[in-house]
Amino acid sequence: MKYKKSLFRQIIDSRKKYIWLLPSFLIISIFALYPIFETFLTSFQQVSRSGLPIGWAGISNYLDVFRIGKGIEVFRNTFFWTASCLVLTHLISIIIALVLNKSFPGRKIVRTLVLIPWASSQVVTALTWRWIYNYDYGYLNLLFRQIGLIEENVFWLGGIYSSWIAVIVVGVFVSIPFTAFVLLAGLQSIPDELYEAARVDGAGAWYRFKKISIPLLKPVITISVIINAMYTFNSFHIIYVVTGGGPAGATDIAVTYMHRLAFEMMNMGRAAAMVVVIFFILTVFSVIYIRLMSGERA
Amino acid sequence: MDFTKIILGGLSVDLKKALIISLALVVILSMGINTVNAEEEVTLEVLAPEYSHRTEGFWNDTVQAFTEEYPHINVNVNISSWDGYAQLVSTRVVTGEEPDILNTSQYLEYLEDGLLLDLNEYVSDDFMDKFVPGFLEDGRREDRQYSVPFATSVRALFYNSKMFEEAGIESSPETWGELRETAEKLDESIDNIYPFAYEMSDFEGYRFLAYFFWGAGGGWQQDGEWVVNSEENIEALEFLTELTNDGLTNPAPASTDRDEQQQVFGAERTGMLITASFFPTILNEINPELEFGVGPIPSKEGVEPSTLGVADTIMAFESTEYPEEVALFLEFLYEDDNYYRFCSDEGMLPGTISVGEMMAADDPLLAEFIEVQQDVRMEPSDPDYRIVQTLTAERAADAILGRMTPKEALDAAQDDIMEELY
Repeated sequence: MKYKKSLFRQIIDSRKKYIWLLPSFLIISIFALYPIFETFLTSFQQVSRSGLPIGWAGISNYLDVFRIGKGIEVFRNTFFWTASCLVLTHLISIIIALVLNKSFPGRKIVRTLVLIPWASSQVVTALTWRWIYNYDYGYLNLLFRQIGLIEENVFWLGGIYSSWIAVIVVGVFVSIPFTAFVLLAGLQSIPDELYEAARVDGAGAWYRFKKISIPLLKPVITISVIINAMYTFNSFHIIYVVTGGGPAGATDIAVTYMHRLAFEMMNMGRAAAMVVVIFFILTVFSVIYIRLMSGERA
Repeated sequence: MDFTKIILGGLSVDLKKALIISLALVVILSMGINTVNAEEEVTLEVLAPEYSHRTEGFWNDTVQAFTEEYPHINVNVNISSWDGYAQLVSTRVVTGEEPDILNTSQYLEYLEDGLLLDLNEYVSDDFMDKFVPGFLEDGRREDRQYSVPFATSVRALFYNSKMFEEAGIESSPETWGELRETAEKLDESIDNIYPFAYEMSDFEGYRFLAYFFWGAGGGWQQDGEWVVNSEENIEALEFLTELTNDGLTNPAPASTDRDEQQQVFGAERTGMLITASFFPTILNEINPELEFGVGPIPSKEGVEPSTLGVADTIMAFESTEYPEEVALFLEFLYEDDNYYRFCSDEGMLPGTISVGEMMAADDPLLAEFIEVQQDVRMEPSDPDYRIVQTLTAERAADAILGRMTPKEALDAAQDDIMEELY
């Protein structure tokens, strides 16, 4: 006699895959989807200073992001911040990758050292740099004075230009490990025969670099740029910890300004609208990344 | 379709019995819990910030004494660092998890949104009479009282007595002219110090603006409207900016904060610093040997001096289930011996008159501060003030950094404020 499955068992069997997915789906829903949804809702609401919604605001919060206050300025700052970090990170990382690609005594130690900024908590890194930049007790001033580069202490975090340099240095510092290793992996996947053939034909080191390394690294560089762009664009903790967005809000990027909107100016509606705009920009980055990745496989 | 068979099919009969018995037990137990509730065990939650390492001890001891007197009232005190405190409170309010009693510095938005309890309805008739009247204004709307002052301070100019002696300065400057002279003398006589320190960051920059706006005869409002770019205010900002540009102050006021400057003063690197009446308690910990003097906040020649009074307050939320018990706790908290301990632990000036008298008898410096309490000037009691202060301080910092002239900065601040609020 054929064993007939009960209806309950039939339903469970055919939907087993969904049951296995359920825990992950629940976690993502609770910690990601729900907050995103709530924020999206809030961006269309009028929110009282206490944080309680008191009505609908249509799209006025979105308009206000660009019309009032420093909305446009901070987006400009964010693009400047992201672009500077990206360019400098990649320039330095390609050099590091090229060096690490060669075998030399102590290579393993150097590789470990390069990894350290990535391994440490970024907030701790940012705090440490803040102390390094400190006017009275910071190591940077001490070092520069000792080697005679400056005569008096410099208030690194006091001026606008020096503050920008200060945070960009930290941003590059934490991005180098990942980028260097991605580029290194890319370099290592280039077959040695290509370089051999070029060397035999008399091509110099720079020529080999320009005509072989760079073109074959292009896909890797592209992906590294997109990922770094996503992380840097949204990098709240570096600027918040090192300069707090100062002085006078000069180093504010979109996310730090949004934080102030929400918690100092108590304007949750507009802050939520800003979050949605940032989310949209980052989604565009992600789409580009995914397109490139699938393009890669083909 | 027999659903019990599907769900329980395969389970032995004994298990079924077990299920029925457990259901019955649950019902009986929940009835039992109901009878315990009938005794009215009350639990209150207090949320308070950490003023110092002594704060926790104070609250624990006070709660213990309170529970001895009222055994059926449990009080849980949650103490949190000042860092991010406003956000913590705000998050709890938004998620509906507000405490019964709150001690904080920024709360006017909760008041305006009707979230706070009118204490007058539950406290005894003479409770409010205990307080220094000036400090009750902030939380009063007509005859309803939403907050009471807990930790108060007044502001004054602190100076390093040894430096003054060295530079031949006889007394604390009282006018702006004297302030500048004093700073110049300090600068000439002593190397490597900041004659006059201040800050223009988002921590307390706006208060330094207040000292000078008021000192020039200006202020934040005119006829109930927010006006920050008045002639007097511009003059005040010009005075500050010139002082900075002439090297008579700390080099980057926009990148430091009052707490840091207090430490720098304690490290004997500063001649003069305007800060709060609890500073001596801090100095006692970081540098007890430092000899300092106190003077009034200088004002422009011909303008009446004023001193800023600041109060952190205690309030209760409307949503509390036990307003009468809240009132009982507050009255216990403010009993002279209990409240005295808090104020002397933290170096805060008391909000009540009787404890003020007790503390004045302790220490002549405190007595001076307490006397000044009677005439303090408070900041506007309006939730919009937070926005006004943030925007104005940011633009003022631009002026100090040299990105704009003081007039441009304050005009821009006024525009920013109008944009944000209307």
